[in-house]
Amino acid sequence: MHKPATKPKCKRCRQPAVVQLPAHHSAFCRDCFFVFFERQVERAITEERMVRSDEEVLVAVSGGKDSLALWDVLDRLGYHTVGLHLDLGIGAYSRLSREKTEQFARQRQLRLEVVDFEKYGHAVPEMVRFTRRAPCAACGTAKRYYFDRVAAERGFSVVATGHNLDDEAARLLGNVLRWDVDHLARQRPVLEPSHERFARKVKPLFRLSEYETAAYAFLRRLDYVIEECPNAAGATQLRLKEHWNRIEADMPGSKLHFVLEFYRRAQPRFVEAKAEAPGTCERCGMPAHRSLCSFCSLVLEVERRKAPASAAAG
Amino acid sequence: MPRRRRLTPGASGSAVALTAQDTFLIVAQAMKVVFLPQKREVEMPGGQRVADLLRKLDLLPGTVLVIRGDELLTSEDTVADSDTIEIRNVLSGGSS
Repeated sequence: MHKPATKPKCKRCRQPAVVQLPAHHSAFCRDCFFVFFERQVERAITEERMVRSDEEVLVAVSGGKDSLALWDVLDRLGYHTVGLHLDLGIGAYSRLSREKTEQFARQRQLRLEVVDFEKYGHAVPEMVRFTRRAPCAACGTAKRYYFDRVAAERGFSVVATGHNLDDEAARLLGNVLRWDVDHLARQRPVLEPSHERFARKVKPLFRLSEYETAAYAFLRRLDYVIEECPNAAGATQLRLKEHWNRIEADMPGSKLHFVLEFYRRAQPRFVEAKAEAPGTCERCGMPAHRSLCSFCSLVLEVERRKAPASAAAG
Repeated sequence: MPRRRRLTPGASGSAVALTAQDTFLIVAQAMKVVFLPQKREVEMPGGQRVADLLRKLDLLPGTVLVIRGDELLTSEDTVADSDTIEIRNVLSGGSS
Protein backbone atom coordinates (compact mmCIF):
# COMPACT_ATOMS: atom_id res chain seq x y z
CA MET A 1 0.00 0.00 0.00
CA HIS A 2 1.27 3.45 -0.84
CA LYS A 3 1.31 6.22 1.72
CA PRO A 4 -1.70 8.55 1.61
CA ALA A 5 -0.86 11.38 -0.79
CA THR A 6 -0.44 14.86 0.64
CA LYS A 7 -1.97 17.42 -1.64
CA PRO A 8 0.53 20.26 -2.15
CA LYS A 9 -0.57 23.68 -0.96
CA CYS A 10 -0.38 26.94 -2.84
CA LYS A 11 2.72 28.89 -1.84
CA ARG A 12 0.81 32.18 -1.76
CA CYS A 13 -2.62 31.40 -0.29
CA ARG A 14 -2.25 27.86 1.18
CA GLN A 15 -5.26 26.56 -0.79
CA PRO A 16 -4.82 23.19 -2.57
CA ALA A 17 -2.39 23.63 -5.46
CA VAL A 18 -3.08 22.58 -9.04
CA VAL A 19 0.35 23.34 -10.49
CA GLN A 20 3.67 22.15 -9.02
CA LEU A 21 6.81 23.94 -10.15
CA PRO A 22 9.89 22.17 -8.74
CA ALA A 23 12.18 24.61 -10.59
CA HIS A 24 10.75 27.43 -8.44
CA HIS A 25 10.30 25.29 -5.27
CA SER A 26 6.66 26.30 -5.57
CA ALA A 27 3.13 25.12 -6.09
CA PHE A 28 0.16 27.33 -6.89
CA CYS A 29 -3.62 27.24 -6.97
CA ARG A 30 -5.24 28.35 -10.21
CA ASP A 31 -5.59 32.07 -9.39
CA CYS A 32 -2.16 32.42 -7.80
CA PHE A 33 -0.61 30.62 -10.78
CA PHE A 34 -2.10 33.32 -13.02
CA VAL A 35 -0.44 35.94 -10.81
CA PHE A 36 2.89 34.07 -11.01
CA PHE A 37 2.60 33.74 -14.81
CA GLU A 38 1.73 37.39 -15.40
CA ARG A 39 4.56 38.52 -13.13
CA GLN A 40 7.07 36.42 -15.05
CA VAL A 41 5.92 38.03 -18.31
CA GLU A 42 5.96 41.56 -16.84
CA ARG A 43 9.41 40.94 -15.42
CA ALA A 44 10.73 39.74 -18.78
CA ILE A 45 9.28 42.75 -20.58
CA THR A 46 10.46 45.30 -18.02
CA GLU A 47 13.95 43.96 -17.29
CA GLU A 48 14.76 43.39 -20.94
CA ARG A 49 13.05 46.62 -22.09
CA MET A 50 11.02 44.71 -24.65
CA VAL A 51 8.13 47.08 -25.25
CA ARG A 52 7.71 50.84 -24.75
CA SER A 53 4.43 51.95 -23.19
CA ASP A 54 3.27 53.69 -26.38
CA GLU A 55 4.08 50.80 -28.74
CA GLU A 56 1.57 48.57 -30.48
CA VAL A 57 2.81 44.97 -30.45
CA LEU A 58 2.47 42.64 -33.42
CA VAL A 59 2.02 39.20 -31.84
CA ALA A 60 2.91 36.17 -33.96
CA VAL A 61 0.10 33.69 -33.27
CA SER A 62 0.19 30.14 -34.60
CA GLY A 63 -2.85 28.88 -32.69
CA GLY A 64 -0.70 26.73 -30.39
CA LYS A 65 -0.54 27.00 -26.60
CA ASP A 66 2.45 29.35 -26.40
CA SER A 67 1.33 32.00 -28.84
CA LEU A 68 -2.29 32.04 -27.65
CA ALA A 69 -1.09 32.22 -24.03
CA LEU A 70 1.18 35.11 -25.05
CA TRP A 71 -1.58 37.01 -26.81
CA ASP A 72 -3.93 36.39 -23.88
CA VAL A 73 -1.49 37.56 -21.23
CA LEU A 74 -0.32 40.64 -23.17
CA ASP A 75 -3.94 41.65 -23.66
CA ARG A 76 -4.71 41.13 -19.97
CA LEU A 77 -1.66 43.17 -18.98
CA GLY A 78 -3.02 46.05 -21.04
CA TYR A 79 -0.64 46.03 -24.02
CA HIS A 80 -2.02 47.15 -27.36
CA THR A 81 -1.72 44.11 -29.58
CA VAL A 82 -2.51 42.98 -33.10
CA GLY A 83 -2.21 39.29 -34.01
CA LEU A 84 -0.38 37.97 -37.05
CA HIS A 85 -1.22 34.46 -38.20
CA LEU A 86 0.69 32.74 -41.00
CA ASP A 87 -1.42 30.08 -42.69
CA LEU A 88 1.37 27.74 -43.77
CA GLY A 89 -0.83 25.58 -46.01
CA ILE A 90 0.03 22.33 -44.20
CA GLY A 91 -3.33 20.60 -44.80
CA ALA A 92 -5.71 19.94 -41.92
CA TYR A 93 -3.11 21.10 -39.36
CA SER A 94 -2.99 24.61 -40.86
CA ARG A 95 -6.77 24.80 -41.29
CA LEU A 96 -7.29 23.95 -37.61
CA SER A 97 -4.55 26.37 -36.49
CA ARG A 98 -6.11 29.23 -38.42
CA GLU A 99 -9.59 28.41 -37.16
CA LYS A 100 -8.46 28.45 -33.50
CA THR A 101 -6.56 31.72 -33.97
CA GLU A 102 -9.46 33.45 -35.72
CA GLN A 103 -11.85 32.21 -33.06
CA PHE A 104 -9.65 33.62 -30.28
CA ALA A 105 -9.40 37.00 -32.03
CA ARG A 106 -13.17 37.12 -32.58
CA GLN A 107 -13.98 36.25 -28.97
CA ARG A 108 -11.59 38.90 -27.62
CA GLN A 109 -12.41 41.42 -30.35
CA LEU A 110 -8.73 41.71 -31.20
CA ARG A 111 -7.38 42.63 -34.62
CA LEU A 112 -5.81 39.79 -36.56
CA GLU A 113 -3.78 39.88 -39.77
CA VAL A 114 -3.61 36.61 -41.74
CA VAL A 115 -1.07 35.76 -44.44
CA ASP A 116 -2.20 32.81 -46.54
CA PHE A 117 0.88 31.07 -47.99
CA GLU A 118 -1.19 29.02 -50.42
CA LYS A 119 -2.66 32.18 -51.92
CA TYR A 120 0.86 33.44 -52.64
CA GLY A 121 1.83 30.09 -54.17
CA HIS A 122 4.34 29.06 -51.53
CA ALA A 123 2.65 26.73 -49.08
CA VAL A 124 5.24 24.96 -46.92
CA PRO A 125 4.68 21.48 -48.49
CA GLU A 126 5.48 23.01 -51.92
CA MET A 127 8.62 24.68 -50.61
CA VAL A 128 9.76 21.35 -49.20
CA ARG A 129 8.80 19.38 -52.31
CA PHE A 130 10.60 21.62 -54.76
CA THR A 131 13.73 22.42 -52.75
CA ARG A 132 16.19 20.40 -50.76
CA ARG A 133 15.43 22.30 -47.55
CA ALA A 134 14.29 20.58 -44.39
CA PRO A 135 10.65 21.49 -43.63
CA CYS A 136 11.49 23.40 -40.44
CA ALA A 137 14.28 25.35 -42.19
CA ALA A 138 12.03 26.45 -45.08
CA CYS A 139 9.18 27.23 -42.72
CA GLY A 140 11.47 29.23 -40.41
CA THR A 141 12.79 31.33 -43.30
CA ALA A 142 9.26 32.10 -44.48
CA LYS A 143 8.01 32.92 -40.98
CA ARG A 144 10.86 35.30 -40.18
CA TYR A 145 10.36 37.02 -43.53
CA TYR A 146 6.65 37.62 -43.02
CA PHE A 147 7.09 38.79 -39.44
CA ASP A 148 9.43 41.48 -40.79
CA ARG A 149 7.42 42.27 -43.89
CA VAL A 150 4.05 42.64 -42.19
CA ALA A 151 5.64 44.70 -39.40
CA ALA A 152 7.30 46.97 -41.99
CA GLU A 153 4.19 47.38 -44.14
CA ARG A 154 1.85 48.04 -41.20
CA GLY A 155 4.28 50.19 -39.23
CA PHE A 156 4.95 47.97 -36.19
CA SER A 157 8.25 48.52 -34.40
CA VAL A 158 8.03 45.37 -32.24
CA VAL A 159 7.10 41.74 -32.95
CA ALA A 160 6.48 39.36 -30.03
CA THR A 161 6.82 35.60 -30.45
CA GLY A 162 5.78 32.79 -28.10
CA HIS A 163 9.25 31.27 -27.60
CA ASN A 164 9.36 29.78 -24.12
CA LEU A 165 12.13 28.67 -21.76
CA ASP A 166 12.28 25.19 -23.29
CA ASP A 167 12.67 26.65 -26.78
CA GLU A 168 15.51 28.86 -25.56
CA ALA A 169 17.19 26.06 -23.59
CA ALA A 170 17.01 23.66 -26.56
CA ARG A 171 18.36 26.27 -28.94
CA LEU A 172 21.13 27.22 -26.54
CA LEU A 173 22.12 23.59 -26.01
CA GLY A 174 22.17 23.06 -29.78
CA ASN A 175 24.35 26.13 -30.27
CA VAL A 176 26.73 25.06 -27.50
CA LEU A 177 27.00 21.50 -28.81
CA ARG A 178 28.21 22.96 -32.11
CA TRP A 179 30.01 25.93 -30.50
CA ASP A 180 28.14 28.04 -32.98
CA VAL A 181 29.52 31.36 -31.79
CA ASP A 182 27.64 33.41 -34.40
CA HIS A 183 24.31 32.08 -33.23
CA LEU A 184 25.34 32.35 -29.57
CA ALA A 185 26.07 36.02 -30.18
CA ARG A 186 22.57 36.51 -31.54
CA GLN A 187 20.63 34.44 -29.01
CA ARG A 188 18.92 36.99 -26.81
CA PRO A 189 15.39 37.59 -25.50
CA VAL A 190 15.37 40.89 -27.42
CA LEU A 191 16.81 41.27 -30.91
CA GLU A 192 17.32 44.87 -31.88
CA PRO A 193 16.71 45.57 -35.58
CA SER A 194 19.75 45.67 -37.88
CA HIS A 195 17.88 47.84 -40.39
CA GLU A 196 15.28 50.59 -40.13
CA ARG A 197 12.72 48.43 -41.96
CA PHE A 198 13.12 45.60 -39.44
CA ALA A 199 11.20 45.44 -36.18
CA ARG A 200 12.55 44.55 -32.74
CA LYS A 201 11.87 40.86 -31.94
CA VAL A 202 10.96 40.04 -28.37
CA LYS A 203 10.24 36.82 -26.46
CA PRO A 204 8.14 37.73 -23.40
CA LEU A 205 7.66 34.05 -22.39
CA PHE A 206 11.36 33.21 -22.18
CA ARG A 207 11.22 32.81 -18.38
CA LEU A 208 8.30 30.34 -18.55
CA SER A 209 8.61 26.64 -19.28
CA GLU A 210 6.56 24.75 -21.81
CA TYR A 211 4.71 23.03 -18.95
CA GLU A 212 3.85 26.44 -17.48
CA THR A 213 2.51 27.84 -20.76
CA ALA A 214 0.49 24.65 -21.33
CA ALA A 215 -0.91 24.79 -17.78
CA TYR A 216 -1.76 28.48 -18.25
CA ALA A 217 -3.52 27.81 -21.56
CA PHE A 218 -5.46 24.92 -20.02
CA LEU A 219 -6.46 26.80 -16.86
CA ARG A 220 -7.49 29.87 -18.87
CA ARG A 221 -9.56 27.54 -21.08
CA LEU A 222 -7.77 28.70 -24.22
CA ASP A 223 -8.87 26.57 -27.15
CA TYR A 224 -5.50 25.86 -28.73
CA VAL A 225 -4.22 23.35 -31.28
CA ILE A 226 -3.01 20.32 -29.33
CA GLU A 227 -1.81 18.52 -32.45
CA GLU A 228 1.85 18.89 -33.32
CA CYS A 229 2.93 20.08 -36.76
CA PRO A 230 3.22 16.89 -38.90
CA ASN A 231 6.65 18.08 -40.07
CA ALA A 232 8.05 18.45 -36.56
CA ALA A 233 8.40 14.72 -35.78
CA GLY A 234 12.06 13.93 -35.22
CA ALA A 235 13.06 17.60 -35.43
CA THR A 236 16.37 18.36 -33.71
CA GLN A 237 14.74 20.86 -31.39
CA LEU A 238 12.33 18.22 -30.07
CA ARG A 239 15.17 15.79 -29.43
CA LEU A 240 17.13 18.45 -27.56
CA LYS A 241 14.05 19.18 -25.46
CA GLU A 242 13.75 15.51 -24.56
CA HIS A 243 17.37 15.47 -23.36
CA TRP A 244 16.75 18.63 -21.36
CA ASN A 245 13.67 17.16 -19.68
CA ARG A 246 15.69 14.24 -18.36
CA ILE A 247 18.25 16.64 -16.86
CA GLU A 248 15.47 18.83 -15.47
CA ALA A 249 13.70 15.86 -13.81
CA ASP A 250 16.97 14.95 -12.11
CA MET A 251 18.02 18.52 -11.25
CA PRO A 252 14.99 20.84 -11.20
CA GLY A 253 15.80 24.43 -12.12
CA SER A 254 18.74 23.56 -14.41
CA LYS A 255 16.98 24.76 -17.54
CA LEU A 256 16.06 28.13 -16.06
CA HIS A 257 19.53 28.61 -14.58
CA PHE A 258 21.26 27.63 -17.83
CA VAL A 259 19.29 30.12 -19.90
CA LEU A 260 19.14 33.04 -17.45
CA GLU A 261 22.84 32.81 -16.57
CA PHE A 262 23.74 32.53 -20.24
CA TYR A 263 21.91 35.80 -20.91
CA ARG A 264 23.38 37.49 -17.82
CA ARG A 265 26.98 36.30 -17.86
CA ALA A 266 27.98 34.42 -20.99
CA GLN A 267 26.06 35.92 -23.87
CA PRO A 268 27.68 39.38 -23.69
CA ARG A 269 31.07 37.67 -24.20
CA PHE A 270 30.04 36.46 -27.63
CA VAL A 271 30.56 39.30 -30.04
CA GLU A 272 28.45 39.43 -33.14
CA ALA A 273 30.53 39.47 -36.33
CA LYS A 274 30.35 42.90 -37.90
CA ALA A 275 28.12 42.51 -40.91
CA GLU A 276 27.86 45.09 -43.65
CA ALA A 277 24.66 47.10 -43.58
CA PRO A 278 22.05 45.21 -45.59
CA GLY A 279 21.08 46.39 -49.05
CA THR A 280 17.68 45.90 -50.66
CA CYS A 281 16.21 42.72 -52.12
CA GLU A 282 15.72 43.17 -55.88
CA ARG A 283 12.49 41.22 -55.79
CA CYS A 284 10.59 42.38 -52.72
CA GLY A 285 12.37 45.50 -51.49
CA MET A 286 13.03 44.15 -48.00
CA PRO A 287 16.55 44.44 -46.52
CA ALA A 288 18.93 41.78 -47.85
CA HIS A 289 22.65 40.98 -47.65
CA ARG A 290 22.69 39.67 -51.23
CA SER A 291 20.80 40.71 -54.35
CA LEU A 292 17.87 38.63 -53.09
CA CYS A 293 16.72 38.12 -49.51
CA SER A 294 16.78 34.52 -48.27
CA PHE A 295 13.01 34.18 -48.61
CA CYS A 296 12.92 35.39 -52.24
CA SER A 297 15.81 33.02 -53.04
CA LEU A 298 13.73 30.19 -51.62
CA VAL A 299 10.60 31.21 -53.54
CA LEU A 300 12.55 31.55 -56.80
CA GLU A 301 14.06 28.11 -56.27
CA VAL A 302 10.53 26.70 -55.84
CA GLU A 303 9.26 28.50 -58.94
CA ARG A 304 12.20 27.34 -61.09
CA ARG A 305 11.76 23.70 -60.13
CA LYS A 306 7.99 23.79 -60.12
CA ALA A 307 7.69 24.99 -63.74
CA PRO A 308 9.31 21.92 -65.41
CA ALA A 309 7.44 19.60 -63.02
CA SER A 310 4.10 21.23 -63.96
CA ALA A 311 4.95 21.09 -67.69
CA ALA A 312 5.83 17.38 -67.40
CA ALA A 313 2.61 16.67 -65.51
CA GLY A 314 0.51 18.67 -68.02
CA MET B 1 -25.80 -26.16 -11.32
CA PRO B 2 -22.70 -24.00 -10.79
CA ARG B 3 -23.46 -20.71 -9.09
CA ARG B 4 -22.31 -17.60 -10.87
CA ARG B 5 -21.07 -14.76 -8.68
CA ARG B 6 -19.83 -11.33 -9.46
CA LEU B 7 -16.75 -10.12 -7.60
CA THR B 8 -15.63 -6.56 -7.96
CA PRO B 9 -12.38 -5.01 -6.72
CA GLY B 10 -13.00 -3.70 -3.24
CA ALA B 11 -15.09 -6.75 -2.28
CA SER B 12 -11.92 -8.61 -1.39
CA GLY B 13 -12.29 -7.92 2.30
CA SER B 14 -15.66 -9.64 2.60
CA ALA B 15 -15.74 -13.33 3.46
CA VAL B 16 -16.96 -15.52 0.59
CA ALA B 17 -17.58 -19.19 1.12
CA LEU B 18 -16.45 -21.02 -2.00
CA THR B 19 -17.51 -24.39 -3.18
CA ALA B 20 -16.17 -26.52 -6.00
CA GLN B 21 -19.26 -25.59 -8.00
CA ASP B 22 -18.60 -21.86 -8.00
CA THR B 23 -17.42 -20.10 -11.13
CA PHE B 24 -16.59 -16.42 -11.00
CA LEU B 25 -16.94 -13.58 -13.37
CA ILE B 26 -14.30 -11.12 -12.20
CA VAL B 27 -15.18 -7.61 -13.22
CA ALA B 28 -12.04 -5.51 -13.11
CA GLN B 29 -13.03 -1.90 -13.49
CA ALA B 30 -10.08 0.01 -14.87
CA MET B 31 -9.18 3.66 -15.31
CA LYS B 32 -9.17 4.92 -18.87
CA VAL B 33 -6.06 6.88 -19.88
CA VAL B 34 -6.27 8.95 -23.05
CA PHE B 35 -3.11 10.33 -24.64
CA LEU B 36 -3.25 13.54 -26.67
CA PRO B 37 -2.40 14.46 -29.34
CA GLN B 38 -1.87 10.78 -30.24
CA LYS B 39 -5.54 9.94 -29.42
CA ARG B 40 -4.38 6.61 -28.01
CA GLU B 41 -6.23 4.95 -25.13
CA VAL B 42 -5.08 2.42 -22.55
CA GLU B 43 -6.60 1.00 -19.39
CA MET B 44 -4.65 1.15 -16.16
CA PRO B 45 -5.50 0.30 -12.56
CA GLY B 46 -6.60 3.28 -10.47
CA GLY B 47 -5.86 3.81 -6.78
CA GLN B 48 -2.44 5.27 -7.40
CA ARG B 49 -0.72 8.64 -7.31
CA VAL B 50 -0.23 10.56 -10.55
CA ALA B 51 3.54 10.40 -9.94
CA ASP B 52 3.36 6.58 -9.89
CA LEU B 53 1.11 6.48 -12.95
CA LEU B 54 3.58 8.62 -14.91
CA ARG B 55 6.49 6.49 -13.79
CA LYS B 56 4.71 3.37 -15.04
CA LEU B 57 4.05 5.08 -18.34
CA ASP B 58 7.70 6.17 -18.52
CA LEU B 59 6.74 9.84 -18.69
CA LEU B 60 8.49 12.75 -16.99
CA PRO B 61 6.19 15.03 -14.93
CA GLY B 62 7.17 18.30 -16.66
CA THR B 63 6.42 16.98 -20.13
CA VAL B 64 2.68 16.36 -19.86
CA LEU B 65 -0.45 17.84 -18.34
CA VAL B 66 -2.48 15.30 -16.39
CA ILE B 67 -6.13 16.23 -16.65
CA ARG B 68 -9.31 14.83 -15.07
CA GLY B 69 -12.38 16.53 -16.53
CA ASP B 70 -11.67 20.24 -16.17
CA GLU B 71 -9.20 19.69 -13.35
CA LEU B 72 -5.41 19.79 -13.61
CA LEU B 73 -3.78 17.14 -11.40
CA THR B 74 -0.49 17.36 -9.54
CA SER B 75 1.93 14.47 -8.96
CA GLU B 76 0.45 13.95 -5.50
CA ASP B 77 -3.17 13.58 -6.61
CA THR B 78 -4.64 10.08 -6.59
CA VAL B 79 -6.52 8.69 -9.55
CA ALA B 80 -9.34 6.17 -9.22
CA ASP B 81 -10.62 3.23 -11.24
CA SER B 82 -13.68 5.21 -12.27
CA ASP B 83 -11.59 8.12 -13.69
CA THR B 84 -10.90 9.02 -17.27
CA ILE B 85 -7.50 10.69 -17.32
CA GLU B 86 -6.16 12.74 -20.19
CA ILE B 87 -2.41 12.89 -20.61
CA ARG B 88 -1.62 15.84 -22.83
CA ASN B 89 1.84 16.28 -24.27
CA VAL B 90 3.26 19.80 -23.80
CA LEU B 91 6.34 19.49 -26.01
CA SER B 92 6.22 21.31 -29.28
CA GLY B 93 8.81 22.45 -31.70
CA GLY B 94 10.51 22.25 -35.00
CA SER B 95 10.95 25.67 -36.50
CA SER B 96 13.25 28.18 -34.88
